[in-house]
Amino acid sequence: MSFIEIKGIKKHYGEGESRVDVLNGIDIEIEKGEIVVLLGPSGSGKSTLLNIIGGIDDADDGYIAINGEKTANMSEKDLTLYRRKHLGYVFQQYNLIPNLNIKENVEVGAYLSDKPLETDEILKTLGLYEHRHKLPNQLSGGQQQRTSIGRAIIKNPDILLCDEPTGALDYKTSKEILKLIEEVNHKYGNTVIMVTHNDAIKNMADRVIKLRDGAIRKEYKNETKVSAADLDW
Amino acid sequence: MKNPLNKRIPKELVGDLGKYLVIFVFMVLLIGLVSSFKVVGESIQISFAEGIEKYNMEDGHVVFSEKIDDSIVSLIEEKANLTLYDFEYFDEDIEGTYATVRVYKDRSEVNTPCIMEGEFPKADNEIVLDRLFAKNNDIKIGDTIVLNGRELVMTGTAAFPDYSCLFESNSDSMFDSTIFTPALMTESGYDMMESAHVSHNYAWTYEEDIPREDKKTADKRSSELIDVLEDVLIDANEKYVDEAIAAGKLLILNECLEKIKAQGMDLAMFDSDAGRDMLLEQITDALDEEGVDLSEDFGEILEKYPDKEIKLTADDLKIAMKATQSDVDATDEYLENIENRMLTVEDYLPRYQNQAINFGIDDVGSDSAVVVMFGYIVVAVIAFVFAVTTNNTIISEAGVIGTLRASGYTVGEVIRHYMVLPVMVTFIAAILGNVFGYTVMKNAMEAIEYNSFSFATYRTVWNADAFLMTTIVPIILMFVINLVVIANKLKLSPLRFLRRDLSRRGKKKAFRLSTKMPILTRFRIRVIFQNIPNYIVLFLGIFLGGVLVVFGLMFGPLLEDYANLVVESRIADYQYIVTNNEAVTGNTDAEKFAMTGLMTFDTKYKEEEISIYGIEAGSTYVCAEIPEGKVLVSNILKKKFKLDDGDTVKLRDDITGKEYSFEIAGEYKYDAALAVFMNIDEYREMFDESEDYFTGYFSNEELTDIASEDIYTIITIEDLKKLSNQMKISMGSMMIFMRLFGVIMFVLIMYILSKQIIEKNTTSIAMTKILGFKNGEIGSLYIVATSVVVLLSLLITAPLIHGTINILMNEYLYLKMVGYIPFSVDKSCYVKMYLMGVATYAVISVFQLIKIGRIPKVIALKTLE
Repeated sequence: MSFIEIKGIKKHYGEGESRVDVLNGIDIEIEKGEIVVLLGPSGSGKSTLLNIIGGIDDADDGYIAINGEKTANMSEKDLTLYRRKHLGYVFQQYNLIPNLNIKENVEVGAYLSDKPLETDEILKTLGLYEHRHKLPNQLSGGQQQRTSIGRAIIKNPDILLCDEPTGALDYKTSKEILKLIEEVNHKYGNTVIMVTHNDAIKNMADRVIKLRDGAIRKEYKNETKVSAADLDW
Repeated sequence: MKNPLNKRIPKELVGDLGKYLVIFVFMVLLIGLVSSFKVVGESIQISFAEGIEKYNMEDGHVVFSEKIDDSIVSLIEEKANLTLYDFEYFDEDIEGTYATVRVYKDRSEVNTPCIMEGEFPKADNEIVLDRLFAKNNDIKIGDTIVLNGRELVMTGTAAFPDYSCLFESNSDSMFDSTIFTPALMTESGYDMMESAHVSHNYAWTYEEDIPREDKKTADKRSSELIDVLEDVLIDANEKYVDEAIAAGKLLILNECLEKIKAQGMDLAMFDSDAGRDMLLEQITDALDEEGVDLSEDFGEILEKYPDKEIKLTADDLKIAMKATQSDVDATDEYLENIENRMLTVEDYLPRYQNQAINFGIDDVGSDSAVVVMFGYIVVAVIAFVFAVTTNNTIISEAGVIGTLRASGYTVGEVIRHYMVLPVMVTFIAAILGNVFGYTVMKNAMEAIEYNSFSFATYRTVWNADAFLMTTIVPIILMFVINLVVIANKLKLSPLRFLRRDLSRRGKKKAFRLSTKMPILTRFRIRVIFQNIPNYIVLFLGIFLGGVLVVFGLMFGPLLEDYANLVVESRIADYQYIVTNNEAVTGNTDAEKFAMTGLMTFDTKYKEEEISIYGIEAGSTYVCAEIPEGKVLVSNILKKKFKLDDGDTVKLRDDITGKEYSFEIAGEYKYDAALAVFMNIDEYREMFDESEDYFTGYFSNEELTDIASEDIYTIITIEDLKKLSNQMKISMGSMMIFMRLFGVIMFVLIMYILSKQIIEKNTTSIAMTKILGFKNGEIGSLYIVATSVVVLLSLLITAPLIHGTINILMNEYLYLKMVGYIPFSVDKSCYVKMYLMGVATYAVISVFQLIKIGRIPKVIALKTLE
């Protein structure tokens, strides 16, 4: 049994003429500790799939099972608990709390876990320790995104969901963030599912799933996996 | 681990200090007001209840026609199981004024006064007056007043427990603390005054305590006492009955003898014993057939003494035959005046019916329900202000909320986070408001109550109910309103937050605006539509503030107008009420009338006395045709009780309980009193009075030829103005409070909501700056939009405020008050309210303009949303 089992996921938005089928039956199996990259152009359904995995959107059909536990059977309360226990989220927009400093923003994530990681250690890992007393608007975009990663991983989630984590960043900063995600994966063994439209990022993945028009066009194990530091685009 | 989001709360507080401070200060003031109102009211009530024993407050008083013997005192005490105190007083006017001073001879045992300032009189030329009266007339300790030609020095002011409200007479529709005061002198000083207006008043206290609210027992005890008094009077007057019978015999026999003489018979033929016996027999037989014709008054007296009978003897006949005409005249006069010499009860007033004791204490705190309700409404508005501002914060922090929710924060945790500040601010404001209410505001509220009533000193009593009502309830209100609004917003899915799609009505389409409109106008219109929830709360706040401001402004002109109306519509400059029908005047300006008071008994309204006037046909004072069998009612009676022509008014005699019905034929303009006007003949018939019965004179000239002892009272123009004068004094401070709160409400609402609108549009404002708009131009976009809403709200609310106050007056004030003041709001009040609102907003918009100037352009570049 795979760690994450995605079976027959279908999703549409709108009705009648404006109906758009976003996902048309997606089947994926993800192993624990894998870095999976969901690749595809805009409108391919990759973010929707990520949101369904994260339990913040519903599927019309099919199911997601984490360690054999199906999310579709969960109540809203159980879903919240599921997210709280198993998931960490990183978005393109960092969504930091503007009037909390960097350390406090990370602690917002720690609060959700019974056994959070050491905040200062995380801050050091993220290279934010010196900036821990600063407010988000005093930091660069890359530093803010690191903070949001810190907030996501401090509770040591089983799964780290990243939705275009480098979408708002420049080349250099993007690479730093990707390196960080890779480092976190190595260090804490989280399963990472990353949505991106940047084709180059697939090279750091253990597995690549290409989506188009709501369907998997290609899925393969990346035999030529490279370090994030070696990525280029 | 403590929720790290909590660390945000003090930062949020400091970051938006202006908003929280304004709300906080307002709530402290509001809760302080409500709390002090309740605490002062209830403390006074408790102290009043304690004062019944402390000052040995009377259970009632009775005024006899003369001083009663100790034996009668003892008899009443024994039969009615009470203690009777000699509580004699006299009334004298202060020279050169209309003010009446009621000086009591001895208050050492009953109704003992509470000295408020100075000291009790020691010398015979010293006097203590009521505190409120002295204040209203600017009489200070050491000042002198002249009473009955004697100069008296005021050595102190006091609160008299039986006059917490300065009603001169219990039948007055309103008290006037500027023209009446109880007073105290030394006993010898009292005697030296030699007043001709002494009342032989006796106060009583029952042996047992009857709680103030137990009117049933008080009524029962009062009825028992009335029975005792009747018995005692019958006994006390028995000697007069014997004298009357003797006099009556002479008159009867004299009348018979006159008839015999008229038949041409010589009385000398009956001069022998046998002749007189024969004549007496004939007279007795004749009288038995016709019945003894005695005067009406004498007949009434005899009715009370069924065991007394008139037995004519030969000796009586002998006296009658020898009586001269002057003897007969003297006896006739004696008989006519015998009732005046009998011991009678002039006035009787149990405590539970005494307005001077009960009116004030009934009034204090009686409005507390309204004040508390007002407090809750304002807290609710503030809660909505909080909810709207929090709603805006939620919108601006949608991404963060979405991330938190996606990360596993529960809806409850996020709701709690956003609710902490409103509830915390309310909680601290409620605690501080109560502290404020028990200290500073208490003094202000005390001043309001003590400006109206003459209460004794009181001790502040901790009031758990008041604390709960002013702490727990506002917190609950704040909690519930914010919970409903915030929870409704936050129950959207995390995804909706992440997508910043928080609209519940689906995707909004921009409504079309004519392109003929200048772009800046369209911009402003869109700002208005973007901020509809803010503007709804703004409108509500302006409306509430407006009600307070107008209410606070309207009473000055209203009472002024009313005083003028009363004077203009007066029946006569003087209404003399006389003590007996012998009070005649030669003044041709005078016109007789009859008057009595009957009570209303419509439970919806406070019970009050209606004046029933009997008017002579062709009256020059009440110029109206009164149809036979019907009545005219004063315009204010008709308005207050919402009566129409053809309706029947039912009134009740408070003493006998007899009910009377009056069919209304129309109205008569008389703004001074709730009155019924009927033909005097019908009046006499209705109230079983004699054909020449009257109670007084209307006159535009002072009547100088009526003896002062024949005048019961004179109703002058000053008396007619009592209601408005008293309301001016008692409501003055409260009206200042109202105005102040209204303006603070304006500041609160206008400041917070206009600030919100600027903050909500920070990015857009920064962007317009980048585009090259000047601060003034940007201000004109955002501030003018709000200005339009403020100005329109001030305009639109005017009729709503008018209607609301009208409803408040009709559905609340008129039901609670005695008398009637026609509702009107001077237009100037609305103009003033408008100007206050505009001035408030002008100041606030300057602050907002400064705020706009401080928004950095970089915000538009940094913000990704």
